Amino acid sequence: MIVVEDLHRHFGGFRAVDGASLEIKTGSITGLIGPNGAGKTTLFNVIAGRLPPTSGRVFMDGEDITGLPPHELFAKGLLRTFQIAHEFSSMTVRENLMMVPAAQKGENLWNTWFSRAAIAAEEASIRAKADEVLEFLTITHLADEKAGNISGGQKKLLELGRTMMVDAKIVFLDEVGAGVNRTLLNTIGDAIIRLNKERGYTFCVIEHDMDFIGRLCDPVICMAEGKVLAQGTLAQVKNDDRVIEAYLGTGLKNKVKSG
Amino acid sequence: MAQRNFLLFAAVGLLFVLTGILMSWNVSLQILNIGVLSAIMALGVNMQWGYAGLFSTGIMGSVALGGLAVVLVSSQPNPENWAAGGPQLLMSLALGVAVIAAAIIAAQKMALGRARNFTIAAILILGFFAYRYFFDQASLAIETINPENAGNLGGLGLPSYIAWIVGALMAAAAAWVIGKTALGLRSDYLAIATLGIAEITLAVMKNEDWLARGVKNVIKLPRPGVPYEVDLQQAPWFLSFANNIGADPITASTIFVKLVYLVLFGAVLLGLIWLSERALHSPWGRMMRAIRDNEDAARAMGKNVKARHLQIFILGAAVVGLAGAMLTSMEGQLTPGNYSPLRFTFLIWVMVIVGGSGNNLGSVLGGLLIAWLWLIVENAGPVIMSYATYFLPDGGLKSHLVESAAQLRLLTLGVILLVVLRFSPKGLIPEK
Ligand SMILES: Nc1ncnc2c1ncn2[C@@H]1O[C@H](COP(=O)(O)OP(=O)(O)O)[C@@H](O)[C@H]1O
Ligand SMILES: [Mg+2]
Repeated sequence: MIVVEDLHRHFGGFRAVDGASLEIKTGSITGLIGPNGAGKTTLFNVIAGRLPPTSGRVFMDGEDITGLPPHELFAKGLLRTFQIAHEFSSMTVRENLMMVPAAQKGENLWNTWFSRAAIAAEEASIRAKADEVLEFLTITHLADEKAGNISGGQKKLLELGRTMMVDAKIVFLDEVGAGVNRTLLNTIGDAIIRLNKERGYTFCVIEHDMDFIGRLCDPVICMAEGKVLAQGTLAQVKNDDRVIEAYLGTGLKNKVKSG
Repeated sequence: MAQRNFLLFAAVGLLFVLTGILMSWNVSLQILNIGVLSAIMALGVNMQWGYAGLFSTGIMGSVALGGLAVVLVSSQPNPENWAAGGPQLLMSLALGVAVIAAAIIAAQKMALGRARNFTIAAILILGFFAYRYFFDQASLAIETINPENAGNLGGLGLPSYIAWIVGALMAAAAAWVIGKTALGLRSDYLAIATLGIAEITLAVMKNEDWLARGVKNVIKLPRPGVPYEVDLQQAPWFLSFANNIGADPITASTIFVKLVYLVLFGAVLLGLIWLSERALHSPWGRMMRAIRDNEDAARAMGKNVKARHLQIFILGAAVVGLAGAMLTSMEGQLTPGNYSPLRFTFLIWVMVIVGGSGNNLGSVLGGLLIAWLWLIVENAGPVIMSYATYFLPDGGLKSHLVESAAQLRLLTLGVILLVVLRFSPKGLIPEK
């Protein structure tokens, strides 16, 4: 699905992503782990067109998508969520979902003035879809809440929900479990597995919670200092000497070993 | 909420009624008409700022372009001036465009290096002199014919309504150029670019006499189908109408004309409010709110933020340009010297902020209220000041105070802005 070749992204002299190469297979839920500052988010930002790469290539289904703007990648079915939730805070949860579908008739000004009926019909179906997503994520009760007022975990869920409003091919989830309580994290995990099985979404998931990664992800890729260190099942990656060393440096050895 | 809005509008309406009773209905209606035009300008700025967070400091430029359009479209042609150098002038302008195009093509087609730099420089320098040579000849020829009354190419002699549309289109075109270059960069670039282009527009209008007589002004611009007072005063139907309501025909005619303008401008204002409210309460409005809330997330959700910003920036400018053209039609003359950033940029901003940005009704309220304040303080300031200084002995201080009382409006505006921001930081009618 996605092939990344020798990708670099430097900030001044600092190499946040330093020659990363990896592949995300169609239909997989690929985990991306690594200590803080490893360059995972930066890698996402480059793949998803938010930052231009310093050098290197990104391919999607064989097509070179390096440096395409986010809205074009969205049209190709490449979606992402953010490490810090990016909800539309002044809009309701339902509106957050309803804004997603592309090329809505009602996004054309002319239609907003002169084709109200067509818009109303389309809105009804988008609304029904949004309500379906809310139900899938078990947050129907939040539908009319302002997105700025819901909890951090619920915002993460909402971001996942936005990716469900269209038929995505691959979704990049950045620390989808950060600051999320256990119960909600399980809900998120269930949703990801169902989307993967039922709708054929491919996922690439950044997450620090090893239980979560272990339950969902195969394969797992580990990054440190901008480079890919190891790839394989979680067990394989955890026992890789270089991975252990990378985590040791940040004092997370115990977490890795015990997880 | 709705009740509060109603009270606010009623209060502003009362201001105009009191002005009518205490001063004169002529003054009141004159201010109201300008207020309605200001409200339209505020609507345009609110589109840019309130819906999309785009900060323009060149509102005056759009207003001025609208005014220019009235001269170019609805004033009578000056055939002698045109014959003296019209075609040559157009050719020289075309030459200027061709030079720039050639430089762009050279920049794109040639390989990097000295030869390219040299070619581009040569094209631009030689092209500039060639352009100036023809342009200066043509413009001089045009400007020397009948300079007291014309000296410019004149217009097309078309109806004012067409001029209004052209005014909107010209402001839109300028916004397109600015938006194409400055949108997508950091927001301060937009502020700088709009400020600069507005000043350049004004400088061109003041200096290029062949275009619209520069600071010599163009007068006697036609009215948009609105009758003239002198004609009314002779028309039997109007005289008998004035007689029936027991009014002096002269006063009645001036008031009648202002009422016709009010209906005309009010209809445009209502139409624009209708269009913008429909757009806002639709998926388009939802998308714009999403972009304003979080650009990054909107991009990631497939919205072409830059294109949308360009769209709304152009629309806002077009609305301001339309109002600018309407203003010039009503005044019947184009006076480039009257376009000041204070009056047509800063003041419109105050209207949007005081009214409540992001909210169409707020902009309209702000437009009416601030226009009233601005014009009434100018008129009433000296009167009030002469009462306030009643106890002072006649002399330097007193006359100075009374004479500079018109400047009180700046102070008044500052105070109003502070008070509103203190007690209702989101404006009088905040966005929900
Ligand atoms: N815009 C930026 N400018 C400068 N440095 C950055 C920027 N974004 C990220 N970095 C740096 O790049 C490194 C990798 O960051 P990030 O990709 O966020 O890591 P991770 O997501 O793996 O924790 C960090 O040291 C961070 O400080
Ligand atoms: Mg990160």
